[in-house]
Amino acid sequence: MELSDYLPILIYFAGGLAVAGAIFSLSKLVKSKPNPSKILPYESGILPSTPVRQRFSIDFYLTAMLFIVFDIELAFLYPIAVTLRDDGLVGLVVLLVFVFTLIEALAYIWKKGALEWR
Amino acid sequence: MDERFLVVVIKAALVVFVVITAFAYTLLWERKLIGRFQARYGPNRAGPIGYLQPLADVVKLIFKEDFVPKGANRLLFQIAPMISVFAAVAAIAVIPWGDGFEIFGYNVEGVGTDIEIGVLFLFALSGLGFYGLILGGWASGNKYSLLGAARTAAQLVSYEVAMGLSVIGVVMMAQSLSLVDIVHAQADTAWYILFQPLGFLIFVVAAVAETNRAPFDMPEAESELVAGYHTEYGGLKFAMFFLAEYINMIIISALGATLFLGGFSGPFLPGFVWLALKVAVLLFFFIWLRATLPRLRYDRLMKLGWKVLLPLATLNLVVTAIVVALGFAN
Repeated sequence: MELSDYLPILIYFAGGLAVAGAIFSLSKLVKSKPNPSKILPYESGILPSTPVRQRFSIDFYLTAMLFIVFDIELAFLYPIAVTLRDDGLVGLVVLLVFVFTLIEALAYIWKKGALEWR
Repeated sequence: MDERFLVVVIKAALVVFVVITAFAYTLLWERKLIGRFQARYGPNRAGPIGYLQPLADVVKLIFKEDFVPKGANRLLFQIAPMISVFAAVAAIAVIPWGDGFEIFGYNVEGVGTDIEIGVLFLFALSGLGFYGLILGGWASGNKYSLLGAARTAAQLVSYEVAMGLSVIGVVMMAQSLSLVDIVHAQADTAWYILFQPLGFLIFVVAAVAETNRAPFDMPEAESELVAGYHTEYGGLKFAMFFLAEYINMIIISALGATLFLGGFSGPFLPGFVWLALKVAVLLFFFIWLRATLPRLRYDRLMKLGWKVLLPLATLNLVVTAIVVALGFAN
């Protein structure tokens, strides 16, 4: 494993940019001829009466915060998982302590009602 | 210019071309199957039994007018679909599709690149793809799109956790995050679906949610949000979101096949045929779900993610860890 293994990743990145760029430039082939009613945001044919970017439910923010907590735990679990078989019992104890904090956190937010969708 | 470099570039171009063609025919296949499920024919006019339909669709989409709605953020509105496409196409790099072979005297690996962190790389790119959907919905300047974007964000992050946990069991057994190593580890023992049935189940459910497919297609629920984050998109910009969604479906099916169904390994037939067959089975399952199940209610969706899949995935993780660490799985 050396750094040159990562070079093909850059080639695929370039491929992704090329596909996206090609479709984007194709989309510019047909000239846009906007008129006031065409560029109106879609709202079942009614003129928009209230501001578009309204406040939305706190649950969305809460979910995002919970995600960060659990996803970081997850990222730490991957390296332990790779070496678990070699680490044997010691590795298992470390992993179980770590997972226990995750279960505890889940139980806590569950009890607090953070998982209820209002 | 190094010749090996040239080989990698040509291979990348070919693989991306094959996947995009596969996208077009997955779409056609889905429309035909949904048609059959609903006792009609599906598209059958363009070309022999409808096989030129994707071409006709592309031509139509190219000639659609491309405009930016009033109230939209012009820059983000145009960049968002490109982010989605970029992340979807770049993810092809680490999917292994065969053993190495020799052609015209060059050694060609059956994978874009075999990096040590293949699984993490795929999760990172799928996370990058979400930005496209969320920015697109926010930048449209439309209430439905904004709601769709908020729902997308919450749904995708919720199921990301369950999916990540369900994969850890496989990583423990294979002792590697490299997808090629995981395939070889399965070729030595057996398909991991036999050891990780619960993990596979969680993975599949989370995969359906991650790709915004029915019955978890809340972000684009047409009967309540019109089309969610892509309400204001038309023509080729809409096509880009569509391309990204279907390539993500193919990638995640390929990931599922690689992690749980033995990937490209199999007797007699070459590796890419086996991978294509396994991917086709998973894609058929995706389409079958869409034709069969009604859409979930949003609060139940979140409940399923956090209160059912997450505890189950943790249980699966703990049991696998005990079995692997104490050496029962050798």
